[in-house]
Amino acid sequence: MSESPTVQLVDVSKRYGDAAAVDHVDLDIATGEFFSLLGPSGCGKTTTLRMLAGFIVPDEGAVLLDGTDVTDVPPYRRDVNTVFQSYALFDHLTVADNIAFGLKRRGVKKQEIRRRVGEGLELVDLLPRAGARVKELSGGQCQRVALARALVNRPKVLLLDEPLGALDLKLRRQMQSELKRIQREVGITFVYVTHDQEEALTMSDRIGVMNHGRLEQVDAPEQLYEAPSTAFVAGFIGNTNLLRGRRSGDMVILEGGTKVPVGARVASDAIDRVLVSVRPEKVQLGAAPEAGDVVAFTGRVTEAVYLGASTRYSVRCDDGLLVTSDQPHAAGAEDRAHVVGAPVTVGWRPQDSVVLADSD
Amino acid sequence: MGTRRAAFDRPRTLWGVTALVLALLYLPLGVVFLYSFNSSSSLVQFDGFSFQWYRAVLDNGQMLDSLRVSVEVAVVTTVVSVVLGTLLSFGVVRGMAALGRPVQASVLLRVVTPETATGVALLLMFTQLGVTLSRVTLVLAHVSLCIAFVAVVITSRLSQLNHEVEEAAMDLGATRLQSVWLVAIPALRPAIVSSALLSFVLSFDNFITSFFTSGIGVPPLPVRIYSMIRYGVSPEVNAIGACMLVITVLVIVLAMLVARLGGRRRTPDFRQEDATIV
Repeated sequence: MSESPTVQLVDVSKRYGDAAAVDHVDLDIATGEFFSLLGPSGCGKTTTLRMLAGFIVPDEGAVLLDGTDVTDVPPYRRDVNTVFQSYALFDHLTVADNIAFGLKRRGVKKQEIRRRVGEGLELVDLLPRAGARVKELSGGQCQRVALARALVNRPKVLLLDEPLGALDLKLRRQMQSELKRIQREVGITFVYVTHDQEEALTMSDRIGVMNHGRLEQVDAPEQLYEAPSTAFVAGFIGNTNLLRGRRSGDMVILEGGTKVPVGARVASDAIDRVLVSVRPEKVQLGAAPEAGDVVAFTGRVTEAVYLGASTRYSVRCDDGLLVTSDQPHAAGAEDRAHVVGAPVTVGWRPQDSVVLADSD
Repeated sequence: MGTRRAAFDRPRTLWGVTALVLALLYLPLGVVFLYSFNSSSSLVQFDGFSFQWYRAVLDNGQMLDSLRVSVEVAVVTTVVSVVLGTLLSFGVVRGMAALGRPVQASVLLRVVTPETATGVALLLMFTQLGVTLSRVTLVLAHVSLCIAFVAVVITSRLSQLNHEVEEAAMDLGATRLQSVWLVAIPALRPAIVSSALLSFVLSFDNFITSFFTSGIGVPPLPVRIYSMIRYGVSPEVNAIGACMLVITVLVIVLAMLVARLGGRRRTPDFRQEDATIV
């Protein structure tokens, strides 16, 4: 497609004093995409979102919407709308008047406002609550009103700032799939800020992982999980074993002295300080070494944590290495349990590991 | 057993304390009300029911002039104080970063400054500036007194108000000013109404500041009453006191009704057919 992306951040930076909240971020978001900004608190994801909304003007760089530079355009003249973390509903207005607020500001005709507010109410399944006061609503209902209030304006981009953070787990799961449904229905580009990696993985088309004001990696959920490009991404999304070592040709010499072959995935050409990342569920665990292309160590189980669908074993290898392995409780696997202290063999296929730069 | 539990949960002695406090609060008012209907001019003995002291007040042109002055000054003071105090609150809470706190503290300080001191200070300032004491100086003095109370009430409410609500309004197309007018002010309405009430009552029955700053014209009601009782207490004062009380209570009730009624507005029902056209 030759059309310009809906959202473009071009080398955007924002400093507060000496600290860079957002540090030279470049990002393109395509039309209709569900894009998440993921990262720990203070990583700059909310600052980035507020720059898209227009509440923060970047010190450097440009913000483009549909190819037009809007860096200095105030929020009330930008074709974006926000769902705030606190919902920020107007307590003195009814549900319907909350939803109509943006349309009224834009001078939309009365009949059209009525029709679109009705549509909005239906979209979030709140038609019967149109005349209710905000104080009479539950947390989940407030969330829907905030969503409808933003969506009825049909913005180019909908910005969502941790919108599910205040809801309990069950309601959050339910709202996740509902948000996804709504996004498919309206076809509007969503930019979603969250610190919850599971939330980002389940909903997003693509995710941008942020840390210390920088975008570490922008990729589809599967790519982020399977092929992280930095140690931070590997550790932040899911669990992983990060084993320190030194590169030597096609091998990595781990801290204990053991050599492991480098797989297909090498995210860094660093030599002296590298990390080998292996997901716990990719680490095989057995009484005897497995055949073939498996890297194998012997060691003893030091801990076994029951996780319901699986058990997480910690294994201290003979060369001192600590490796975590998740063993699923699949049908027929009941007799494969290992007790603490038992001698075991751990191993993984080289193609299941990623070589990363060791930045600390 | 059950009754003993009840006695333990709700100690009866508290009733006595409550009664005592209520008596302290309302006995003086009750006495004034009762004696305002006394048929004789005695202030210690009730001799029968009569409206004569109310008639005397209504016939007392000077007294009515003072009442009018008091009401006018209170109304103007309230309007000016509420507008300026609200603006001050926005300045302190939304406009200032590090300076907000000290400014807020200095405003709060003005609430607890002894009124006699500020009264004298105002008198000296007006004299030194060569300003003749008049209705204008009286209003200025009252505004200087009330504005701090207004600012304290509204500042505390505004600092609790989630700033994201105003941002949401701007996000939905309201300018900075519209976001204040359409969202922040409605949210502050209870605080604005109660600070207006406070201003009105503070100004309406203010004596100390008025005494120093009202000049030679028609004095406001409290100053007039004070000069009256200096030459002996007339039972008329009871009737005036009762009237002031009734006016104050009426203002409060009115304000509460306004606060409650203004918030209600009907929105039409939305039915399925409004929504189905996509």
